[in-house]
Amino acid sequence: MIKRHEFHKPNRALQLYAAFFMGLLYIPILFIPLFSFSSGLYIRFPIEGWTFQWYAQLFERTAVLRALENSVRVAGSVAVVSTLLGIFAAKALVRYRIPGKGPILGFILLPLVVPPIIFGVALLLMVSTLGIPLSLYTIAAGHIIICLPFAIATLLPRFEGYDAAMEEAAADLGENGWYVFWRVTVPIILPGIVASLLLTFTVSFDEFVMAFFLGGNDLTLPLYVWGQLRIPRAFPVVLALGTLILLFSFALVFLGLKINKRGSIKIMDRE
Amino acid sequence: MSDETMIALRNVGKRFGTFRAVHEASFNIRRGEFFSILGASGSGKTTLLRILAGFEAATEGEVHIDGAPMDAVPPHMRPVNMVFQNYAIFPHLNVRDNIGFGLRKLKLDKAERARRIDEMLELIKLPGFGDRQADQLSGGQRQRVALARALILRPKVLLLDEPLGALDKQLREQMQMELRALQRSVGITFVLVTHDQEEAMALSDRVAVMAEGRVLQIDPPAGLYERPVSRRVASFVGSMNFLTGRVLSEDGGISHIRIAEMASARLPTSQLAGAGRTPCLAIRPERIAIHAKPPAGQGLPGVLKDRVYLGERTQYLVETGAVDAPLVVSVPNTAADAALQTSGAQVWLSWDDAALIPMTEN
Ligand SMILES: Nc1ncnc2c1ncn2[C@@H]1O[C@H](COP(=O)(O)OP(=O)(O)OP(=O)(O)O)[C@@H](O)[C@H]1O
Ligand SMILES: [Mg+2]
Repeated sequence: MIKRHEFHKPNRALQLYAAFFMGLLYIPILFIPLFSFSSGLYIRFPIEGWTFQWYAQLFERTAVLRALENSVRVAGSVAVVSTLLGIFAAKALVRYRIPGKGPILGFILLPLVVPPIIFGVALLLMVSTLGIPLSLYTIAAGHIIICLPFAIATLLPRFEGYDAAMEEAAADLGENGWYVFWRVTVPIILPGIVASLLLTFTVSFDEFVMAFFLGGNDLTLPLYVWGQLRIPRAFPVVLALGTLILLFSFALVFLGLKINKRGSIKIMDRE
Repeated sequence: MSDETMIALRNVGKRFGTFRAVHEASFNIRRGEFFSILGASGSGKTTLLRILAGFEAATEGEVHIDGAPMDAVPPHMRPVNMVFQNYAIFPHLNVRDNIGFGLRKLKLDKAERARRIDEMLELIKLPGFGDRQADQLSGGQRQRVALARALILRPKVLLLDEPLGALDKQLREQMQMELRALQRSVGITFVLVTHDQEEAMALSDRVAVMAEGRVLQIDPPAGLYERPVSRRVASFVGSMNFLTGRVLSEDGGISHIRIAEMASARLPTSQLAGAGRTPCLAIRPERIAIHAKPPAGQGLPGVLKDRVYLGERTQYLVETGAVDAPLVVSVPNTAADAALQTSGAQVWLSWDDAALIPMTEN
């Protein structure tokens, strides 16, 4: 056997730390799927029996389906709009000599660290001063603010990863700005676009605080869950719903990361 | 403007802020010519080429291509195509689609499109490579695809930015031959940028030498080698010795010039216009003869410092006291003198006055 270099030896302490960290992060979350299959009404051990009935009940509730539809509509449009805006912002940041690029970038990424509650209150103030009625549209507007930094952060490396001469070559071969974008820029950054769509969709789909402040009578899924928490008998159904949302969100984020990573490896290979 | 002119530049300048990357460039490039722009790194070659392609707007002066002013013409409307320094092959398309990229606007039917692409694949000697992905090509193959992609549009001018820079020496020499043959066969005006003087000399009908944003001299390769106008051009093209002379007298169109203590020269006064009273005279290493004994006519004495064997010729370094730097003398090995083996030996140098090139510009 080939002796491994010291540097690449597995580090026991680091492995323990990673295991501990993952445990801390995910064990509490695992309670949700676990108890969603429990036949008892209350969260307690030992578990009395196993059942699928909460899942069956879930799909009989039209309110759930309506909230789901609302969430998909909001998240879908938020994903499309923030990814589009993200494409233009990332392109401008990478391609053009903009004075004060650093501060601008910091400003754009700010919503990642500002508590959503602050943004929620601020937007609510603005919306009510302007007399705009609260609705799914106001929720979507709030979500675009939150999602834009995610879109830009996903797309920036894509634009940095390829040579601007590609676009010049396309222009040189007779294509105007729009066709250069469509025939060269979009195909090259496509993995980033897909990843951004998936990521922003998930962020919007799961978002609660902004939706809470900016929502009208139409509920999104997280708002519906919040509402149901006050009814003890509904709790197992909420757990079933939570399990499905968790699975769905994980799947989307993993898919997005995978597509984005594969895309960057491919681009690096070519250089 | 004559019908012969393909590209005309009039006082073209480019500033980036206060920095002048290109300075008062005024020259014509002829129809069907292979024209090279030669210069060291940072001399403004790429900037000039990008002005022709339309990617940079000149801050001064004007550019005409085939008689039409280019000021307001964006890159995608210009009758020129470019081969980029790193080729810029589209990574998401295969070879066929790369080559056919510019055909969209011609609205050809499928068969005609395929025929034209096949024709180009034939021309660049890559038939059967059409379905390769861009990342499955070698450097030389990428270079050919970049050429085909530009030539398929039958431009009036093809711009090439150091197209052979990324290739190894052997491949580069082979591609030089192919590029020259290609240019002859398609008859398109080529404008090539390079920092490799041998490449510029081997390929071009005429070469423009650039330094610090200025065009110093434009001439055919032989003219550039045999009659450089300034020290900077002379030292850029091949190797060169520089001597300082003093004009002693003028008589019947012939100037008598003294070089150091022991040597003098007679040159036509007309050649010395602009060179001043203490002209700088350049001479190629191969135009100096070296002797172990004093020659019959005049000879500049010196001491042999070093001797470098270079295969087909030998290069001698001779300290003369006439100039600060030792003079370089190059002798074909068929004529090498056995008496010139030891360094420190006393030698004499001589030349034909016609080999002296007065530097008429700074
Ligand atoms: N966009 C720009 N902004 C500011 N300065 C620039 C820009 N492009 C080029 N320059 C400057 O202009 C000068 C000429 O650049 P250019 O690229 O034309 O050189 P070059 O002769 O092609 O050199 P090389 O052989 O290294 O490619 C350089 O000093 C460069 O720093
Ligand atoms: Mg350059």
